[in-house]
Amino acid sequence: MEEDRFATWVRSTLARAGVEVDEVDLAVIRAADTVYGPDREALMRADLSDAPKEHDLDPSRPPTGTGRR
Amino acid sequence: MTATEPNSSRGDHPQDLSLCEQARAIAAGELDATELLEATLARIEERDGELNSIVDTFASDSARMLNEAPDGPLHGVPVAIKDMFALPWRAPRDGSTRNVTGVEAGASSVYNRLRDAGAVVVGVANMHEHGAGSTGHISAYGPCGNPWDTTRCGGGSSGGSAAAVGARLVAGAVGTDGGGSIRYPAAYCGVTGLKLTWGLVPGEGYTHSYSTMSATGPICRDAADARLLGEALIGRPLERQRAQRLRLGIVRELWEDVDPEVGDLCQAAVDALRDAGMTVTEIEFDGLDHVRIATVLRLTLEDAAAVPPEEARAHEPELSPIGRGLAKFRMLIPAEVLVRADAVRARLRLSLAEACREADVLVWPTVPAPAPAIENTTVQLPSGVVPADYANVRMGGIANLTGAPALSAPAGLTRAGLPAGLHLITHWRDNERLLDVADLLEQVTDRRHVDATPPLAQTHPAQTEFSA
Repeated sequence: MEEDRFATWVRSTLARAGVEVDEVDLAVIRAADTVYGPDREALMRADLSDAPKEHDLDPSRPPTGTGRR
Repeated sequence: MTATEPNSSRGDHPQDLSLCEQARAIAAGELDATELLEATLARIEERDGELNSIVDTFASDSARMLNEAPDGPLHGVPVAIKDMFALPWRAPRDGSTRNVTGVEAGASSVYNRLRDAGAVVVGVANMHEHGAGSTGHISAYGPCGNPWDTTRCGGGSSGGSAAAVGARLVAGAVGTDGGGSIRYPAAYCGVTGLKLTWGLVPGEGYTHSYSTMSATGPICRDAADARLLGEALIGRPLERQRAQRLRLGIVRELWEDVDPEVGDLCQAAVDALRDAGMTVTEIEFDGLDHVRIATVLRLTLEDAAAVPPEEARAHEPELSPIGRGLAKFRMLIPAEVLVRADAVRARLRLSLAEACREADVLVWPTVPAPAPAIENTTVQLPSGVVPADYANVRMGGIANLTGAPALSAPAGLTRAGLPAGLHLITHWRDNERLLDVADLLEQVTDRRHVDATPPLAQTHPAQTEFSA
């Protein structure tokens, strides 16, 4: 069943990091994945090849090269 | 307690005065700062029980701060600060059971700025646990309610700050905003909240100083108060200019899938600004498709290295069940998505810079629906029922990903008596313009939105007699 595979994947992946997962944890993780999973998958499929390369990102100012209006 | 017919008259009791009016009256000798401090503490005690906005007060420390207060622009004025800033007498706890961030008691930058302005820190405001929510219903201190309906969320993560101002416990409070956390509670509580440009307020003594998304800012009743408190926080003037000549840009995509009443209230606000002389146009804004997930990913992962592993492990059993589960969920996120989120971020920053050539201020609703119930933090949108966090971050995340300043201004009440907020965002260097537009909105609506008083502030009139 898909549901069991999700639980198995969560437990085994976190077990490799030494992290235990109880039923409450699993429920929260499943809920978060249900809510944000589709958006995450859409991001993984998105074509971002034309996104600007901002190697000097400074959140206090606009991207360099855009000048000030 | 639920909303009844709102009282739009401005109270003339000293505790109901605005931040500006309190500062003026104290400076003029018309109001005794010691009496105001004592009355504020008494009002918190009297009024905050069902609201739970202020989680700690320290009368002797506040009195000492007042006694030592210099003659600054906020001399003697009581303000609250979010549980993310160190005070000389108190380490922040980030809305959690204990301090795991390593920020110890001391003079944070925010404390120093307030002190230098002569203000008095009267209390620590409630917040969503570790800043990880837009509702404020998960906190080691218990949920923070909404002054318009205490069964509803005060918002997050700076819910306590907004609720305390909304309930007239204090005239000003300091919040932080990493994914909308000043603006969402401001909208929910019917007050004005300004996320300043990233980096304008130094991060010493701030639990999330590692963040490239989080910024500090004022939460007050109106634009003039937010300007005054904002000036104290950044240590320089926020010059006032006429907003009528500015261009307002509607980003139509962010008006979609919004509660119809909220949409109508925000549109009415825009129409009022147009009637006041602002030029209003529709603006194209590229890159909105992945705002929500990019914001959540950046916020979720940025603190991964901020807490020592042994502290994180020791703290885990003390987290809320949701907090604990989300901490483990984070470990399942592949690294590639963060790289992609940062590409989205770069695209949004360029889009905002380009949009700021076509309009001086961009506008959309702050939150797509009014404050949800504490017991059920979902909201009803035209597309269906969704968690409030999921709904909100689409609207608020742009300002955090870009670093630009953004503000939520009160836009009126729904038929159920719940506030709606109008979201304004502008160029990185133009914090003042947001305040100018908010100020103009107040003028053209006869201040009825900012002066509306929630039931909580009406049913417990202050008893303190002032000598001045």
